[in-house]
Amino acid sequence: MPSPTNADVGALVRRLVDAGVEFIVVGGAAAVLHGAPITTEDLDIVHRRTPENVSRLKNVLEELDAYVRELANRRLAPQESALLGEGHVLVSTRLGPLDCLGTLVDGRGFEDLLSHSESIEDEGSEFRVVDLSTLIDIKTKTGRAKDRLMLPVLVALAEELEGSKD
Amino acid sequence: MSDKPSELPEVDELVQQAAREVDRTLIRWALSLSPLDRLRAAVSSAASLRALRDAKSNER
Repeated sequence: MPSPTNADVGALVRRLVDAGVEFIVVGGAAAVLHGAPITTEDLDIVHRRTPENVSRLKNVLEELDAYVRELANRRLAPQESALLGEGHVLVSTRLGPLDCLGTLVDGRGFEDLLSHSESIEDEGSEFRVVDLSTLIDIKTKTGRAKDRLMLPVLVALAEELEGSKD
Repeated sequence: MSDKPSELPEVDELVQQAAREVDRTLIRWALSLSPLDRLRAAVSSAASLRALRDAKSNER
């Protein structure tokens, strides 16, 4: 896995966009994109699980020398069949770690999340990120300690954004 | 994006209380950056923290 100092999650996003991959950013990176001042080392996405989109995603992963993480002493390229499934495919790439989630823990996939996502345009790239209220909902439901820790920051961010509109 | 969050889901009192104690200066700083710059700052901070942690581990 590349050193986090070499990770460029923004470049990873742009590579996916440039390749026409349909995805929604979720997880810590989504919180950061909304403005949460937290740290993150990877990019979590929920991708559209159509054969065409998975093929595009697979091509990008190949270009970035991606291999499945947590396979001790083995460098196995992610399989298309796994990317088409509902499970999680966690890979390391030259631009940093990328978690490709077929569905979230609550079972929601790309189509379910689409209406709960927002479009972001930056540096000539346009991509989608899960909206803040849905992100808070997801983090509340997972019940994991690290997600619970993030909740106060997300709620404070939501309040700050609301206040800035008044 | 995030101009104004839609209906926020219910969170418990403990989370609400903790949210009131979050330093808003940092949030305002993050909001002053572009989305991709926020991402770069977050990854860079994570790397710095990791380096500090590794240095501490090596001291032991």
